Amino acid sequence: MSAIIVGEKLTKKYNRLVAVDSVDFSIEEGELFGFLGPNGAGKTTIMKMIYCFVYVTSGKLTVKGIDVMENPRKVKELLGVVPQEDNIDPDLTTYENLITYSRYYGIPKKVAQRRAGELLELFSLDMKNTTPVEHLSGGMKRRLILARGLINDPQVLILDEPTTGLDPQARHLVWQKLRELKRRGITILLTTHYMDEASYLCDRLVMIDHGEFIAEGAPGKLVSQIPGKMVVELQEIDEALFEKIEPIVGGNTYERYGDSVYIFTDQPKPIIEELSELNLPRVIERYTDLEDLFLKLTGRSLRE
Amino acid sequence: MINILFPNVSGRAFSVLLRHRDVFKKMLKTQLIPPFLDPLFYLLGMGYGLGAMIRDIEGYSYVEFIAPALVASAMMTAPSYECGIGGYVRLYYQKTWDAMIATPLSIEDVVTGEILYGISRALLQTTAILIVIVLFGLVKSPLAIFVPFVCVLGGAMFGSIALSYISRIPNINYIDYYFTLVMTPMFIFAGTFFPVTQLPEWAQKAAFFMPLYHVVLVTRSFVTGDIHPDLWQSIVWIIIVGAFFFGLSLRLIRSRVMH
Ligand SMILES: Nc1ncnc2c1ncn2[C@@H]1O[C@H](COP(=O)(O)OP(=O)(O)OP(=O)(O)O)[C@@H](O)[C@H]1O
Ligand SMILES: [Mg+2]
Repeated sequence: MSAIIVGEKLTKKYNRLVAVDSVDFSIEEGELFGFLGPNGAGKTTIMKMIYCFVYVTSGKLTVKGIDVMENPRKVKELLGVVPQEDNIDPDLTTYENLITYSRYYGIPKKVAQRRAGELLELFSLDMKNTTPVEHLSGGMKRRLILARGLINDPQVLILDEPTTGLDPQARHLVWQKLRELKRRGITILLTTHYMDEASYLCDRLVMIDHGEFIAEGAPGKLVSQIPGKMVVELQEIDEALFEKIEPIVGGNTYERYGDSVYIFTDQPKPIIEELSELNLPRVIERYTDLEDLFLKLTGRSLRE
Repeated sequence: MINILFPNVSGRAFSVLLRHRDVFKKMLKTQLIPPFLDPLFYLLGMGYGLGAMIRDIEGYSYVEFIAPALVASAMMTAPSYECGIGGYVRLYYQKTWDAMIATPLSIEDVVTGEILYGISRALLQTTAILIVIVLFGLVKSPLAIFVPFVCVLGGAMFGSIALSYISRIPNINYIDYYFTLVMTPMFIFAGTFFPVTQLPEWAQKAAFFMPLYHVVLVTRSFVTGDIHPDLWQSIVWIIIVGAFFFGLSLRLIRSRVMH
């Protein structure tokens, strides 16, 4: 395996605002690599620098050894892009969108027609061939953009929140397709706010906050950083209740947020048994996951 | 050299033109009749109606005088609508340009494609007007076959000017200023409906700086066969100013779109 996308001290400033702050990463060929982070963390900005949509302020970024600032056209030929914002061509039908887009890549007409047909079928849009895109639902538009991102048979697929707005069926369909593409050796970059999606799909991922990487590694490894394999979550806990609970949970790592208490432990059974005397309104027991780590690292407060 | 004046422009610009062609084909039904009606109304109303009360101008009846100006004005209006309003909508509202520049197209290819489309629309429009005025017997010279070449140069110039303008405006309402402060004065004063010699001395001098003045002068020379002494000067003027604004629009749009 060799690195296909490499960022070194990669930095992006929008005027004074530092959106990406000197990050280093190296994505291997054939890898499915995730970028997680709260709103405004800088995920989209990293993606946009890779597909040459915004300039690199400083540092170095290469795709297959080609510098994005020196030869953007060459870089973009290798990429398939699914942007966060829907930008399908509203003046065209579903099918025309794919054909028109294929011309931007200089794909021969015959090849384009075949691929467009296949891709529409792949994403279950073939019934909507002649539908003006305004008449597509939000999820269908998203699927069309995914199909569009594959029209040039890319070596690297850049997916900025590809499954936002999709129903569970479509989401699972996309997951299937992504794993299939990965088997074919395509490198995939993914941003998502769904932690289950990230753990399920990504070989490796980074968590970003304020333009800096705050964690990186395989999802399983990352989750194991949390003390305790299990979480016991208690809901509707007011001050009075909390005073009664505290002596029981005190020995474990726990966290309070709103009316909830989260207890991280390897041995949930004894805790739950002890708590049962208190007749708490809601007690949930589950495995720790990426979301627990995410919230631990980035805090629970909302981003502006 | 070309690369320095017009950086990052490639043949891929034609794929943008093809996109516009496909969209245009869908609107064809509504776009087929107006190009013929518009000049017809002007000819009947202003040319024959108003013209009946006006004495000959430079040896031509009034309708003969304004017919070439109608052709020339279309070289300005068609690209201004397409590159000005159409371009603005595709850039800011529909995000069509954003989608394009995520492919191997450069932003300069996209701008060039818009200008090519502006030229194409101008060609369609001027052809329609030429047909109408031929039918009215208002084309006096076989030199009129050069009008499409004028249209390519003029269309490119006006498309580039419109794109340069929209690259700097904060919102779409500012396009109104372009139409009322830039286009309307030219449409009225650039030697279109009366000769610039009717203007005060200073305004005649100012007319030299109006792009439409030169486009009208060249078009009128070819339609009437009466070659104006300044013909070559005006052709060179159009080429230089057109090239200037083309290069400018490439740079201005890039600086607006790419951060
Ligand atoms: N064109 C721009 N001009 C100025 N600032 C920008 C621009 N685009 C993004 N930013 C800022 O850069 C920062 C990073 O934005 P970015 O879009 O990369 O975040 P993100 O991680 O993708 O967030 P989200 O999860 O909401 O999509 C934000 O503070 C944002 O306001
Ligand atoms: Mg984003």
